[in-house]
Amino acid sequence: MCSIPNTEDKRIYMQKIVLKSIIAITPLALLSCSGKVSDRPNILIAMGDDISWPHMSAYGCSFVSTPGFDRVAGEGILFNNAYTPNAKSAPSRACFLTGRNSWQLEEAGNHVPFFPQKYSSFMESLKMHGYNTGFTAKGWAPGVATDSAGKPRQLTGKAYNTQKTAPPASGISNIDYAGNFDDFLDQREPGKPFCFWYGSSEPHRRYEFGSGVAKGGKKLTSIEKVFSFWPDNDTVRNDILD
Amino acid sequence: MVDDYLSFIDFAPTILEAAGISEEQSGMQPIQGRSLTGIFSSSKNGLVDKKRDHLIFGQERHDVGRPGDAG
Repeated sequence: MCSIPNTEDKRIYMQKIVLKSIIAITPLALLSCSGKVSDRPNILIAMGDDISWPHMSAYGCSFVSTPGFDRVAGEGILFNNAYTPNAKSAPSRACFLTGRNSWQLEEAGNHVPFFPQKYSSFMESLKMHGYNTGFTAKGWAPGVATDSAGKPRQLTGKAYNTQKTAPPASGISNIDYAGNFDDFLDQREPGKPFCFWYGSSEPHRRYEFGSGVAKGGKKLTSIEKVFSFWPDNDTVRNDILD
Repeated sequence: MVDDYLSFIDFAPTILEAAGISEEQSGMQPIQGRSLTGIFSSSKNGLVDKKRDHLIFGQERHDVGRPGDAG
């Protein structure tokens, strides 16, 4: 599709919400049953950060290739109308984790908030009910989530971030997502199902300027259209490709 | 491709149902989303659940997102 919104303010606002909706599609498509240790499924959540749905090749984009996403879309379900109630990092994740809307989450409806103790996440619940839980890179963030004793809560399970890799450009995370998922699988308690949250730091900025062209082999002219709420110039086109 | 409208708040009840945990057992505050397991188990394209032909959500203006903290 790679369609662009028209220039009416209201429409652009709605489109921005839609742009965030890609986050909804990936985890749903990746939700799968495998390696049954019981009749309860293992669950892998893949959460992108600031991905725009028109920039996934499964939706028809020609200048970005997303083979992993496309494979899941092909073998699973690709949604055309998936929305987040709040198009920001911490509040959208709070909605995802609690099953409640922003106005039903008190401080957790904000960006960089203190997460209220009264709201449990489904991953905390899964852990309580015998699941191995963990995450790598970005879990629920940014903000502060502590229990009544001031101890950090594990809204998305235990962190697995020790495995590092050399990123192809500065601004891309040096966390080895797959390696840390391996660590989680190696260290999990046997006989229990798992729920793991892979929270990519990409494609959220920062970006190494010009890296999309210099290292990614992209061309500025391959972008069919620049969103109308951005100026169409080389700086923006490089930014998109980076 | 599925055209049903869904919200982020639909994932928690979907995952709890898949894990066999009832909302009462979950220890969570009342969940407002609706489980998607019916769509998962369907092989249909297009609108799978006829009730999912729209979505309503809102945003409070305490979450600043525009220049000058305009709301």
